[in-house]
Amino acid sequence: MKSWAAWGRILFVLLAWAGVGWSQTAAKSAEAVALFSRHCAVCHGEAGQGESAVIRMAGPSLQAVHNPGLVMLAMETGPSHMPRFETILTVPQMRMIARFVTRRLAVIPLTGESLGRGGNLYRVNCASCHGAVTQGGTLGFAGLNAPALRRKPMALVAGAIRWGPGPMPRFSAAELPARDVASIAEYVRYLRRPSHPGGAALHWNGPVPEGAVAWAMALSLMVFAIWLEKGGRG
Amino acid sequence: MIEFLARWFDARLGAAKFTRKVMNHVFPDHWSFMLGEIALYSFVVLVMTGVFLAVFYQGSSVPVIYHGAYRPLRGVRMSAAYHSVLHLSFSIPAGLLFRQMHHWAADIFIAAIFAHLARIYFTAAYRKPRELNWLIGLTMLLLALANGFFGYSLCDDVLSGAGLRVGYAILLSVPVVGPWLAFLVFGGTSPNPATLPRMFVWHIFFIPAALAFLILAHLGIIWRQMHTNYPGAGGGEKLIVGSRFWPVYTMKSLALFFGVFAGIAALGGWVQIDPVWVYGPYNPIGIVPGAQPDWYLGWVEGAMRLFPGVNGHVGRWLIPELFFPGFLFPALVFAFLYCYPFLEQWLCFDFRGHNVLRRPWEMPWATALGCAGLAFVLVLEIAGGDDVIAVAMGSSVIVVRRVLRVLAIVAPLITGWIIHRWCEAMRRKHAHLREALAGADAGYSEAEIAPQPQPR
Ligand code: HEC
Ligand code: HEC
Repeated sequence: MKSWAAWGRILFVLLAWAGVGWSQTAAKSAEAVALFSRHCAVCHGEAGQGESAVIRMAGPSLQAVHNPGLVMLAMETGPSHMPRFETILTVPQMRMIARFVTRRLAVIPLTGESLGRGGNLYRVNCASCHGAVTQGGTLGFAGLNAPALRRKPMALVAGAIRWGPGPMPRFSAAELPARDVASIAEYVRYLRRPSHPGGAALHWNGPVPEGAVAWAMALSLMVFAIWLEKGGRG
Repeated sequence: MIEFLARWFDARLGAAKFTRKVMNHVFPDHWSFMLGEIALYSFVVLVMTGVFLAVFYQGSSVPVIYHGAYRPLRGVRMSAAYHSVLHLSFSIPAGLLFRQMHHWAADIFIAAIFAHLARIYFTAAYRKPRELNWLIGLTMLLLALANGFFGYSLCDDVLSGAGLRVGYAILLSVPVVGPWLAFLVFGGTSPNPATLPRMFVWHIFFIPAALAFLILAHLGIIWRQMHTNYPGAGGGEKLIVGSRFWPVYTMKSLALFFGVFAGIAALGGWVQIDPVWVYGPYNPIGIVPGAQPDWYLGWVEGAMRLFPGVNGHVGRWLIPELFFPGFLFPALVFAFLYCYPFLEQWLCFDFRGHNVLRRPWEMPWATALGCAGLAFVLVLEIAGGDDVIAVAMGSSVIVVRRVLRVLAIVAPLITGWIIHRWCEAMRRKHAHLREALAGADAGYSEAEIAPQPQPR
């Protein structure tokens, strides 16, 4: 009988503790939601889905950001148009937001990727605008250029695929399932440091700079011929 | 030993007399006479590297799965042709070096032909009796362009495929015979598994053989007719002045060969060209920014980009827009060039032979016309890369293209006008220098230039 009571008391304490913890977490998460929607949602959208680039300051989709470190870093350093939050938020608040972003908003998984498949999908779906090696390119109308992706974190690449910022098309889960999104992001990451033999890459702009180099060499050979005609002197 | 061998051959072939004759053949000294040689030696490099590539290349569209050294393409389905190019680039020792040298050599080969053609044009070396070599030279340029296009297509990557699509579309656009023409070149509709093997045979056999034959004819004719010489170089219509074939000329030429080889090898080793592995295997819907033809077809691409989108109509029939810039324009350019020597003969009523070259300013309208043509081609060439330029300048393709459309009309006119003025001024300045245009149908002999070291 005694042991029953003891167990009951322990259970009660545990339940109470869990309840308090739960309500605290709930409070915390409510605070995190509030913080995010106050400080971040203007640019990143309430669900972290990314705001349309119609607003100049729009931020990218955060729905594939699984690494809290990346969020902390962004808040502390303020990349590109994003403000720095060091002085606006306390460290615990930033931690809360980071946890909120990575646990609640990150709905695009980044697993099951395959480099070969990612390469194929990238070349079919993205290379026409962003270039074969993510160097960026023109859309050919209205002066719109697709940005280079070399500096974009993998998570933002994955987010952009679902989000479709500005004139970029939006790829639904029916068009590119989660695994394909992860594969494309992996290939884009690979292209930051690709195995790329054969010498200087001429910015991967294809035959235009190649033709210029060929002509430079042809002209050098003509200069060489002039030198030969002078009897190899001066 | 050498003497013994020499005697042996001499006794059987009469080689000594012949060799002496050959060694004493005189070539005039001028750097602009070596442009053709740069082309010749690039061709030699092309053949040497091409033989190596042909050993490993497979001209087949059979689909295979890649399992080679390049990680991002492992497990990817591709044609056997693209597979063999990847294998060559990543797994064959020096394979990539040879491939890059081959491609650079092709670009330089045609650049040198182009410069050589310009030299011939501006110095009027095409005049009687050398019209034949002008025609042969133009034919070689055409063959070189075709072979460059085929070579570009053989890799079967996304750029190759894009090029083939454009080529196919241009052929289809030709009125009446278009579909047959396209069928002849592609072996059916495009893409088509018959295309690659067909192009491979043309690329490594028929066209190089034709080129080699024409080069021999070209050189043989130069030898027979002897080289032209510049006015004021000591020679004249009846006398050629320069260095003997052996030793001076041979050594110069040999040095140039080594220079060309070294230049191409340096580029092949140090500068990437056509990195097919980033473009990926051919896929009908794949395309990348910066996808252009090689420079020697860039002017046709530029013409297609600048040409306004208007279709032609003949009765009920439609002539697609593409036909005008893509087929008619290059055809007219070459037709004009082929006819030019005869056109000039007829216009100037000058049917005499000429061994002395014409200085460019001596015929202002011809020089102005040539320079205007060069300006036009240059604008088109730039237009062929207008997307790359727009991104590099942070501008819009539309704006760049509009500017280039205006330039394509204005630049040739201004260039022609300026050059014409310059020629007239030079003509006035050098009026006293102009030599009488003597006929030279009979007799053209040779003399070694005075201060050259005499062989004993
Ligand atoms: C004024 C608009 C703006 C606000 C407000 C803003 N961001 Fe950003 N954020 C951006 C932009 C723009 C980028 C893209 C930076 C880039 O291109 O590298 C970005 C990038 C990020 C990234 C990606 C990190 C990286 O290295 O690119 C994270 C994570 C992020 N923001 C989190 C947040 C959080 C959390 C908040 C709220 C505390 C927030 N942002 C508020 C505009 C904003
Ligand atoms: C129709 C052309 C087009 C295609 C196809 C396209 N993009 Fe984009 N992309 C753009 C443009 C334009 C922008 C710049 C949007 C802006 O200005 O906000 C962009 C922006 C991006 C960004 C940057 C977003 C940021 O936060 O800065 C990423 C990452 C990206 N694209 C990845 C991809 C991937 C991956 C694919 C293939 C699945 C792809 N894009 C396909 C045109 C395209």
